[in-house]
Amino acid sequence: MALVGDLKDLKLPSLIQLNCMEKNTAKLTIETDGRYGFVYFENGQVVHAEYDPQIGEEAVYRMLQLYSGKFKVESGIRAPAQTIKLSWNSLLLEGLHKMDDGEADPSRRYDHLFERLLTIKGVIKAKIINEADEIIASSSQDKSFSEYFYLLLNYETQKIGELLQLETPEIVTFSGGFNKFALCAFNKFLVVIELESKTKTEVILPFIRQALR
Amino acid sequence: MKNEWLDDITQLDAVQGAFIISNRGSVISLAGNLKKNQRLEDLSVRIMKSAAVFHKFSHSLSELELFWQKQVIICKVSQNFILVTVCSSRQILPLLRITLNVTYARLLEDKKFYKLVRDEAGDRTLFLNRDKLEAKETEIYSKIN
Repeated sequence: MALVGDLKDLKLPSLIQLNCMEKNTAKLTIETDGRYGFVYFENGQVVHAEYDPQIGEEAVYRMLQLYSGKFKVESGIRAPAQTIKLSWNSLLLEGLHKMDDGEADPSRRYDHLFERLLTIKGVIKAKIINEADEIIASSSQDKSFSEYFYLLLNYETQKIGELLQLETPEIVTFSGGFNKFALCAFNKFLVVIELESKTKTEVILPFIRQALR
Repeated sequence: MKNEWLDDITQLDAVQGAFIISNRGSVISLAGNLKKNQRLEDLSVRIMKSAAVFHKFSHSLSELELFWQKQVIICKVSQNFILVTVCSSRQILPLLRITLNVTYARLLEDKKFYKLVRDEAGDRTLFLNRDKLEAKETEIYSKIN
């Protein structure tokens, strides 16, 4: 029977560690935003990985950067090829080093913020946009609405605040025939968070506030 | 303007007021401590514009909620009207949501209300016409298209 779960609950380093220490032969599949990644274990070693277009160690390094997605571990499935020669602990160490180095990269500056947001129950994905409609950072691809759409909505809600002699709302949520979305001001930017449709704004707000702090 | 439609809502503690906006942007029912004045009219137009953005791009909108530290606005959006509630506490939100659902369902079945809304029928996306938009709105809106 396959082990299934969410990377929000069990991160990839832990999954790799678990399978290697148990000396498993297995296939780990990760699905995030319709994109698939695979890690193969043989007798407790990582022997092959794919995360299009990467293969081998680079694929593992890329997958280590994922903070959300579904995973499935199927025992007894053997690798179609051997593309990784490093021992599993060297592979993990190198991957984690690369992640640390990557934090200097501006596109990855908000990784910790996304990680904090995505561990909140009810949060599906998030992105940060600036006033020029540029997505500064995104936890995943989302084309539900144009970025200008959010900006226009944000402008209207700011004006509503002014009419009530208040500041910009702390959070604005909207729902309809889609998942629920939340808009939050974050420094000079706007954070757009996709939420599970039944999420109650007042319940999630303290957690979002803490994550954005 | 009948406001007994909204009495159940405004009887809740911390609810400052509730009102219903027609698709033409007029306040067709008002209850609680809110006063019908220019500010309320402006507020209605802003809320209607927010809803119009969704309508314009074929995204259905059913709820819009705005949270400040000490103020919450909850808008329940129907095709023909928007029910807006202004509240000063988050503690009562679970009860308020239930009350809003009940009131909303009653409104949809009320013939007098239906007639009122029908008389005030209009295309909410007209609020996004160039002559209704401020410079900043026009700038952003032109980029969506």
